[in-house]
Amino acid sequence: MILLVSQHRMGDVYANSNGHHEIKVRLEKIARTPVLVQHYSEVSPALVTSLPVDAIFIAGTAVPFTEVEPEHMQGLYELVRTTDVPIIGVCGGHQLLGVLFSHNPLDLHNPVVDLIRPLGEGEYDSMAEKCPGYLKELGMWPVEITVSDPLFEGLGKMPRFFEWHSREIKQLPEGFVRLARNVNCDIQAMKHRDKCIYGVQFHPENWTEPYPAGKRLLENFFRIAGLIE
Amino acid sequence: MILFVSLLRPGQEYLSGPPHKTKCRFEELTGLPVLLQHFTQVTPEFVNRLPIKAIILSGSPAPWPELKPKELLGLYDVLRETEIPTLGLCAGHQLLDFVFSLDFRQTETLEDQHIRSLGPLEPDLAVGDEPSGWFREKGYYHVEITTADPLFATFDGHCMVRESHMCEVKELPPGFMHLARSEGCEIQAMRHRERRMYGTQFHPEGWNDEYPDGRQILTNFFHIADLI
Repeated sequence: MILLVSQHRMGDVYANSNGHHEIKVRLEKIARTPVLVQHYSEVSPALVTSLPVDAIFIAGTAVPFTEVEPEHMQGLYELVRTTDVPIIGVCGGHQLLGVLFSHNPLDLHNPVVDLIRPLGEGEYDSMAEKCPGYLKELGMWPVEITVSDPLFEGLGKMPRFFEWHSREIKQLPEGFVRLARNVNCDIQAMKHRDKCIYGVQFHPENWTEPYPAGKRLLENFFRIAGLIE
Repeated sequence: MILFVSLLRPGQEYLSGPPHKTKCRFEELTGLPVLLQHFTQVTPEFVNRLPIKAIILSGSPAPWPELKPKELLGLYDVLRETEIPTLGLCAGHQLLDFVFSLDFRQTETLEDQHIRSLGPLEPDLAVGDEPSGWFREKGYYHVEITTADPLFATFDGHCMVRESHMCEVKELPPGFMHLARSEGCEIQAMRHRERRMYGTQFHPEGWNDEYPDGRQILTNFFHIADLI
């Protein structure tokens, strides 16, 4: 079973969401195992030991970490720091790993994650309603693999992945190595040195037919996690 | 863990909204994780592999002929044999009737069992794509409890619960007993005589602040299932 951790805003926003339905269905098809969706505030080491969880997928978020109550993040914090279950964090999940493995893990105002950069003079704003004046990466962007890793097997040097973010990890957390970068963002992928914990700034789950690299990346991850052959 | 089986059409998947919201309500009531799965994903092997403490069958807006018995075989085999406490909601209640009345390996299609045609002076409560011309219960209705049962513990003979249906169970399936009725529909709730298996024609999960009885009925079910 895969545990899919939602970072939707707590309460009605989460309850009225579709519960990451599209991601759940895609992961269930690739990994051939059920996906249990849980809100970050419901997750703990005890939950994961009570269930046959083979992998953890931390989904993205549109909620800045400064709006999250640290006490609601305590269980997930303890989980990612202690578990041996393979983890992948995507976009906001990747950024959350950046915070939870930093020196001030439960200070969610932590400057480890911040806006990418202000737009230059005359530079195109890909979505003016969100963080106006700042660069957003939106669309299928090329990403350069800087360290070869089983996660990127079969993907060449410069695959395209769906990007949709305004923030990034500014500083690699302790114990992690950088795996990929691109023209806009220096930490596009990272991996824990000793444990099977990956973070990717992009959304591999949003692959399309013309740009299927994200699907291959997730298959690679589930292979590393021992879920598929 | 609770298994919440979605009966929505294949291809239509779980739709957005209601199943997840309902999942959150079950989690709030029990403090346990609820795994949502489409009915085509459920088989006895699947259920045996996971620590499942209760099974809940969702409702569905689709006409029954769109759900094929051969696609429901895995779930059919689970429901025929399981000792896990089970609750069918609306279409899930009607599915329990089919499962215990029919051999799905010998059945081509499941037929809608309409409550009845509309009378000439009655309003048609169908909206959108819903078939017209049929009597429906829609909204919060008075349901009369006819047999005392732990599912209705704390209720004094009746409850007010959310209804949204045009089909019903016409006759109790073998092994089941009658628990509740309403003015418009005779079998509003039933239970298996030997197992902790219930069907409600109404939607207890559709409680709100004004009509909270559904919440208590679900709480009672989770007590029966030894989950709270």
